[in-house]
Amino acid sequence: MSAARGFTLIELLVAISLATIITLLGVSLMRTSINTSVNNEEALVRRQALRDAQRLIEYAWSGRQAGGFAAGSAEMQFLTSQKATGNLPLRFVCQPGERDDFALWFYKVPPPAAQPDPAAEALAGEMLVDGLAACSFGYLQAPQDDRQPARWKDEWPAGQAPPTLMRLDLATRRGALPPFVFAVEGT
Amino acid sequence: MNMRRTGPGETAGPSGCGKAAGGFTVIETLVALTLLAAAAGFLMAALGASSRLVRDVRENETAQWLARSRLVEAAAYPDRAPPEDDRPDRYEGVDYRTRIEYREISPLPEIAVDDVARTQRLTEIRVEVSWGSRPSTVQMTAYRKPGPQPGAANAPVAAR
Repeated sequence: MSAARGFTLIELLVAISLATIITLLGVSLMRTSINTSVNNEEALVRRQALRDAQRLIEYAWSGRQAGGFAAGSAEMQFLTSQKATGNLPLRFVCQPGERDDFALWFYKVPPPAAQPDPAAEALAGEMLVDGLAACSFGYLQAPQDDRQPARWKDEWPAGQAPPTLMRLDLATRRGALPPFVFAVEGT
Repeated sequence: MNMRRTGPGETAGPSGCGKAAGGFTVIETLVALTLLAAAAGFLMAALGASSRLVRDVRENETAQWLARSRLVEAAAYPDRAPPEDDRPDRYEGVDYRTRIEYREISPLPEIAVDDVARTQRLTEIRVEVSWGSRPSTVQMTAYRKPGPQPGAANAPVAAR
């Protein structure tokens, strides 16, 4: 055996395969952690958007007025006495998005005279939350008598006095969220 | 692995007391590996704790949303109390159980503003949402004046 002895081929092969396995493990760990971080970031941003949307609707709905109410399961329009929202009717819409999802939009509806084309209305809109798996509104029909208890409805007939309680049902990709229930203040 | 062979009476060390080029001994390698493993272990533990914390915060907020919605509903229409917690509600993969309690109370003398308030009875509405295997709970309470007030929702006054 000579004094200056190098690696044998077997040793080298073992070392290289070990290094490869370790590198692969490292890469997959890295990818997992990047994915987790991106998902968490998205979820955080969406949560913040949800909080903001909930606060806005709660504020506007708490001052809901009797007139100008129109509602369906995918959109809702009403007048509010809250000053910060201006004196325009407010409209909240669950709008289908591009990737088989929904987004919650908020519009201040301009008066008819100042509405020359539909594009103007679209421009005034603000997207509150996007990437929702489901989005719908519900309205609580007050109990009419003892036999018929209060119940949630998808639609609200035009001309009927507006409901006190309104709810917003949302779902993300993780699953459904608890309904947000909004009440009119001091009715 | 490139290890130096040591004779029976020889002490091992990288300083090289023998004539061959000094490598690492088994002991040194083991110590280094142990340290590395310990460091990796701490890292994983920290990562796990952080993601658990994120999940806890999210579940807590979901529970608060649920409690708030139930409270608003219950305060507006006490007769429309949902059935007792037979079936939990599932939100984002987690089961939440809701319990709603109504209780007639008299306001404490020291917080009643006048004689009328002192004699008036209030309905305390308490909503408790619990979730998780080692149950975490969120409680919210609202007070409602008695008598028929269709849709009279008082804002939740206390949350903990």
